Amino acid sequence: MAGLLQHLINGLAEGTIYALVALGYTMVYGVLKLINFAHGDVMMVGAYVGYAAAFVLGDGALGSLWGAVLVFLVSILFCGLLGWLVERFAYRPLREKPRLTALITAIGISFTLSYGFQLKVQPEIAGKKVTLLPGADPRTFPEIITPAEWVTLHVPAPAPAPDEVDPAAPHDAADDFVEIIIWNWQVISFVIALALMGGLQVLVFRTKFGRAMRAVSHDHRVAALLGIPVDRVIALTFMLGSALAACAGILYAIKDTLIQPMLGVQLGLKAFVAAVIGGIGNVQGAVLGAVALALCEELVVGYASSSWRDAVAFGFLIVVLLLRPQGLLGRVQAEKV
Amino acid sequence: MSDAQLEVKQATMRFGGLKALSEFSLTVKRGDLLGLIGPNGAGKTTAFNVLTGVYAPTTGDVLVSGTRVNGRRPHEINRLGLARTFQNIRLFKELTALDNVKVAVLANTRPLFSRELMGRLRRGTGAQRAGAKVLGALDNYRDWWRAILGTGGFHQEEADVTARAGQLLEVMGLSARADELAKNLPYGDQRRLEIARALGTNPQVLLLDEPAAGMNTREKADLMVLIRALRDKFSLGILLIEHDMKLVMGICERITVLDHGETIAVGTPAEVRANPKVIEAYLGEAAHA
Repeated sequence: MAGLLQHLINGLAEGTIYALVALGYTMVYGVLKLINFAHGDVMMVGAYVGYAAAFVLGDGALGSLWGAVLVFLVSILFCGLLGWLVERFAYRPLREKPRLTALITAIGISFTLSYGFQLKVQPEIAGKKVTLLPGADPRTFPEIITPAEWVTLHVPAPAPAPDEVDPAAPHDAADDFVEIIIWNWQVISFVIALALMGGLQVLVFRTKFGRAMRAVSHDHRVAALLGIPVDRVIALTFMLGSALAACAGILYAIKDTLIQPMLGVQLGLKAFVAAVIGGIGNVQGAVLGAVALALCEELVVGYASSSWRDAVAFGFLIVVLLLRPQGLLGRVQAEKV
Repeated sequence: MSDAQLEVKQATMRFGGLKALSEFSLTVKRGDLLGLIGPNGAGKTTAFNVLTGVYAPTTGDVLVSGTRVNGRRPHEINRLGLARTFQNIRLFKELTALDNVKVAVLANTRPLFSRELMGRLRRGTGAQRAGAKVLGALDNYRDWWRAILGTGGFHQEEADVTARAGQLLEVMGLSARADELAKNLPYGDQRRLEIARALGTNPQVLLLDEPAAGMNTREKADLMVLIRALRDKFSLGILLIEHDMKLVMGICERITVLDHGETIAVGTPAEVRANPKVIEAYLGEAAHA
């Protein structure tokens, strides 16, 4: 019972990070019908930019609120710009080309980022070594939030079987309870992720931009002829998705403490799976799919073996696609024959 | 400024070696009801695509409300007052009839700062142009901060937009169908919904691409009455492409005839009907068919 509770908490924390990345996949798919495989790598860049920002701010800023806010802001701005650049120079010129062209380009950008970041470029500028690209070695992410136990729950432990109890040993009161720890960073990242998702929900469903985005997703040529600035809507969609990915990158780095350039490939793939499970193109679906996937993974790790984690994640995808090909919340696209 | 809402001067459109449209000229004024006819492949739809910015003309000029729009993007041209419907219906199929119109109305809601002020700033000094950009950005994202800060105005705007879209549906006789998905509407209603949606962008000039295609005789007769009523109610200039000779001859005041991209005749229905070139173009087509 206690173990289950701990797994649920961990799964939920992981799920919200998946969700932030999955939202980027689903939004871009929504407007362009493009699977932006570079999205996970934008998240990786977000984590590294956060790392660099924390490094520049110095140890004095660690653990302070303004330090954390600055780290997030710098990373959001940088990734927003990166998202815009990728759309403007890689995808926009291909918009009227066959969809496969853009898809291959996306994979190319993904490789450029994930392998580019494995280069180590450290020129000396004005007598100081400046790291432009970090190299392949994992780096420890600075503690921008000082870890602390937010709450520690004491749950009664199940009584041990009588034949396991050694009557000679003195009774230890600590064995009667199991500790369930909720860390402050788990709470903080959960709250940040929820706030971002709420904000996105407001943008998509309560603003002109959101309506324009949905109109573009139905038919961008008609949307343009109705006075909707299609290029701007698509660029903003990329920037928003990239900003969410930046936040996800930092939250992931806080959780996992180690960052390395291939991080985006693994997590990006999981988030993509989550978006498909939820019904790609559907905003709420992405969140639901992400949480379901993370819980599923966490339970496998907890009760079976961590080697089964990825197998079960993709197995889950196959089961969902067999039972509901359109995803949990996706709509069926009727094919006219 | 002339009172021409849409002016096309010697527009030519080439695709590689093919001249799809050759030195096409046309003027649409407020209250005009003009027709564009010609056999299949004559370049009628190409002409519409050139006017609305889907293609930029190879040579020649297109002016909307006095502004030269060659090479401008379709949404900018639309905002200057030009709207269209499509030969093959292109509604947002998965949205309701009402939402289809709301999309168009919303994209053209009233700007925060008057067009006149913005225009003056944009033509002004460097500092004024920078100011215009800031105000433009404020205007573009006003509903973002409004939505995020939770300040009022959203429900008011939503109500205004819904009311406006509802009015347009009523004009087109679609009120009873407002909440049905566009894809479930009968064919004739889908055609009328396309017109309602185009009207939602508040145009000066409306381009109708075969509005009666697929309609029965009765529906066509109703449509003729409706198109005239729209022209009067919204004081629009209307240019329509139509295959149905009876409909075109019945409502258009002037007709331009295209064949192989060339303008072969311009005039009143009676003049066009008597023009030997027109007869040849149509009979020639019939003879081949």
